[in-house]
Amino acid sequence: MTTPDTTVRFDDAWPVALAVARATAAQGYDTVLVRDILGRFSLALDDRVPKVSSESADRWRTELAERLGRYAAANTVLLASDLFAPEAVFESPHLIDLPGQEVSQGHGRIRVLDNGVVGEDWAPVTTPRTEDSGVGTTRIALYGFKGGVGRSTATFMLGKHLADQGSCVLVLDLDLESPGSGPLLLREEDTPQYGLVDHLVEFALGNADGLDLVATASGISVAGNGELWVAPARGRGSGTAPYTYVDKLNRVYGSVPGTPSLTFADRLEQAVTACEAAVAARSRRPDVILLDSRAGIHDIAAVTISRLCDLALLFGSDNSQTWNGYRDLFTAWQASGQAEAIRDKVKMVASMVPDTHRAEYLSTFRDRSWACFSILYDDLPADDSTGFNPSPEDLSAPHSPVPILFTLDLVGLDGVSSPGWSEQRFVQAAYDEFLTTATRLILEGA
Amino acid sequence: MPPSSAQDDYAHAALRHYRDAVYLHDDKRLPNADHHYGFAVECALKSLLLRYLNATMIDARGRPSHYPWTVDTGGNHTRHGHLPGIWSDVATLLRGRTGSTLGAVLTSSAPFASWDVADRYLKAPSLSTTIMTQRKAAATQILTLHQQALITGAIQ
Repeated sequence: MTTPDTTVRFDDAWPVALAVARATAAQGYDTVLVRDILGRFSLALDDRVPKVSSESADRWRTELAERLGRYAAANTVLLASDLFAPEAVFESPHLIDLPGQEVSQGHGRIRVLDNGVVGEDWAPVTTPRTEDSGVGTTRIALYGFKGGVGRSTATFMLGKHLADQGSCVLVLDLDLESPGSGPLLLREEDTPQYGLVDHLVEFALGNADGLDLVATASGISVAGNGELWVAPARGRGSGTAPYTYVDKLNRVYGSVPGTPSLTFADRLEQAVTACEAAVAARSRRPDVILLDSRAGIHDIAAVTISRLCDLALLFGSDNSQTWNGYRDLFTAWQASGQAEAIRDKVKMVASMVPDTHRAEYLSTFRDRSWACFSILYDDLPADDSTGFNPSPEDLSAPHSPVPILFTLDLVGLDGVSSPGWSEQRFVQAAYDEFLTTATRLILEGA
Repeated sequence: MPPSSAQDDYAHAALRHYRDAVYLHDDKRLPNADHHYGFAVECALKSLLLRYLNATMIDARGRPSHYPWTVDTGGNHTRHGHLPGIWSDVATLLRGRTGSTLGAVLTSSAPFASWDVADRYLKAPSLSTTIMTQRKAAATQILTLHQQALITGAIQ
């Protein structure tokens, strides 16, 4: 009977498996650290060159089985020479390098094959390819770990501001579970027949051509030749059959089998591209796309931040829920070797700064943000300036927040039924610094 | 035979049949190569049925069986035997699971549709090189997915 203090739990298993992986790599074997969907570990060793003796394999097998407890896979050491298809493991597209690994002569490489049920889309971090986003289209994600921090309102304010500067802007409401910017920007009668959820469902069957997905924002006058387009999560429906949003939403998160199969990330990317093309077909190619992502550690957020955007604005208010959330996310990115890629494309937004003690609040926010971002920054001695480790005071650093002032008057604003609300002075004052800074980041990339 | 050893037996038998099939195929001994490709696929699918699709080696009357059995939500028992039946059995059981590559493989083509275990008694079953190539490819794909299922803990 295992006593509680010796029971191996999920987090305890990783260092045990990694220590044995380091031992096998030190013997010169390329090693894949495999974690299955229940969290159990096995090591796959490439023994094609050099060979592994059966004594060594058995020793590692026993050590892992004994030390991992319930987190040992049925066969803890898999040899390439015994596998039916070793390339399916050693050349898997899902392999990631162990961060900070330096492979020396005669020393094997350690890679990780982590099999979760969801969440694989948090890594790897990339920016959209030019041919996907179109020449000159910049994709910006707006994300808050915690909901209710004014993200959708800020999306609208930023969209309108950029359009007023002459840009063609498309806002996508990716908050499929609780659509925000769609209803905020479109009256029911102006809503296109279909929404993003329809594209996700129809595309899986090769049936997405011809969907009416975008409309110009309702009752909003844009200065000059700017344009503000919206792709809502839900559409208005055809009018001939009931519009069943929940039934569709229940079907969007899977991969679509086929050759090659389409992951949820592929489906979401296709939906974004289709909305972009719809605006281009009706007017001109959007200059900026604003992706209003849903909150929390969710697949939509994963795909949006890791893959769909050039820049992600990370919203937060100064509380432990926010910082714990970002810490968990940053830790996952760091562990999967994505620290450098992700810190290059994120910027913190303090979205609920109390007007009454603004400076004090921002100073505390910035210090806590820096502590959290340190996970993504290079760990350097004080006299080493070769890596990336900005000081807490560095205003251009990703952790340094762009402020949005919070006032009670903003609570419960309904954009559609209160036309012109965004022009009011208190609203403009609250968003002034955010709009100036975000516009500079988006249009000048600085 | 307890179920835990049956699934391991099927996993090993799948590899054994596959290797013999390739050996015979390379030597152009097509009828027996074909026989073993069919058994390789059958054994891999039975291993997956027992591991991931709630099959047991217990029949409809609750007695130990030489075949895997599944029970649907209506209480109907199904015995899973040779190809081509087991191919569509597994495809049906995977329906409704999103993102299953195995499900896609099983529904996109049916290279073993005309495979018959009774062909082993024939003097000379006619087999084209094309069908042999298709069956080898399908067997390779299914055994690879079987391997990945065992490693990752779920049908891919």
